[in-house]
Amino acid sequence: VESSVKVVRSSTGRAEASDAGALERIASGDVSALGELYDRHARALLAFVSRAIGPADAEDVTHTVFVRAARLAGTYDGRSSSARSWLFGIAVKVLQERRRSFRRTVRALVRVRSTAPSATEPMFDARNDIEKALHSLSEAKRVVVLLADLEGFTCDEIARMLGIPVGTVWTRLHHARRELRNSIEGSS
Amino acid sequence: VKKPTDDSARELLAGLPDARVDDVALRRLRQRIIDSVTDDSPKVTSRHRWRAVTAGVVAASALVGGALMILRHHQGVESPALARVSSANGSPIAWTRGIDGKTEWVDLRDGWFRLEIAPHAADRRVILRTPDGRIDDLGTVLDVQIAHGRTTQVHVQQGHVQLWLNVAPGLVLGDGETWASPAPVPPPSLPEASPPGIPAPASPAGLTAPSRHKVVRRAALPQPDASEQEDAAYLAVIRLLRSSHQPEARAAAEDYLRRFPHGFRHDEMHRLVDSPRPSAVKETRDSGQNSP
Repeated sequence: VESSVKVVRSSTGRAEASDAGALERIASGDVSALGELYDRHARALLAFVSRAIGPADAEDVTHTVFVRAARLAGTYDGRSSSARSWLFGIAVKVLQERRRSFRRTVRALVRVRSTAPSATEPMFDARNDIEKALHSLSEAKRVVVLLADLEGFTCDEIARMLGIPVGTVWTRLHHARRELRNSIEGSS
Repeated sequence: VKKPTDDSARELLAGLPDARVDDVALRRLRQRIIDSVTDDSPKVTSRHRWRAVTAGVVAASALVGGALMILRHHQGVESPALARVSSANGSPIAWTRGIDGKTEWVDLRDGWFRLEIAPHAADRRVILRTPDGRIDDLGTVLDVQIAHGRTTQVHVQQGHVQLWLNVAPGLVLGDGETWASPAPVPPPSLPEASPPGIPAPASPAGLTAPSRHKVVRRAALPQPDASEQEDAAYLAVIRLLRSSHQPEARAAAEDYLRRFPHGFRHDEMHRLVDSPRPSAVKETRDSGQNSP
């Protein structure tokens, strides 16, 4: 995993300069540039989203991320961050919106039919103990630990993506790691 | 809270199975995204461009036309025509203009107008049309007030005009003269000026009811509003009745009914107009006495 993370980083490093150009072309209406951006980042994004919320909705979320990226391409500032970080930031926001929408739906269902929230949570088919442990975390903690320990983003970058203070990111990461360890140790 | 530095979670997550991302799904998603963005982005074709240009031209024309109409109706505009129309007191005015051959007509609908008619050749005419008649310009500057569909006042500042109103046919007004419609408050001296039985002096233009019109040499004054005018007309009738001027009171009542057909004292005025005429009775009696 360490090596794969490094490979991802080096490949995106080469792509950063052309990401800015692609986003500029997207902003001017060149839809083919969106295809280039997609080819560079879609696999990583889809994998991240799939791990964060499960594979069922991952494609829809990734679709939303790229459509929104096309709309916001004109606002991209290539000097402040890479397109990878920018795209992951959009993905994190879409996940937050989805979570809020899901909560509203659950509340409405509870009001209407007295359905227990747990009964409406999406089912996730864990393939091993680590995946099971990961999905025992809350989505907010899961997203932070995935961004930090799998995607290799710094706490500052994660704080910017989530729009929260960096201290909150540290706290979530600390608790997420501890819960993850406890869960694995408990299961073993 | 200190920044967490342990790498144990990283090592743990290394044991995660690969995310289930297959190439077919990725290609399908790519096409979906491209289609969505293409559908959202507006396609600018030459047809669209022409439509936009046409719509812009139409909108601009409508705006300019609307602005001109508003200016014309509310402030008056200078035109190559002979008559310059504006508001005499700054209030809104409603009017239209037309030129038919050598005759220029100006329809005055409502408001207090200042009309300045440029000196013009004898074969050109300017006719001011009011709801209840017309005013022929003879080269002049004048103010015309129109309210509730009738001419209420004409003041000539310079030159001459000839009124052809329903109630003042053929009356000529000169410099500084004002014609006011049947006065809201008849002057107390009216009986003395036109005592019963003595015919009122005919106007040069053949005014048929001089006692109900007045030409005064004074500046135009603001007119009271309709309710005040109605009250004043009613009080004038009452005053004439109390001073035993029955014929004048009846004439004033008729005037009230004509001016305020739906007035508050309509019934009362009607009764007065329909009441037997003393003079007629007297005439009958006189004729009866004179008959063999």
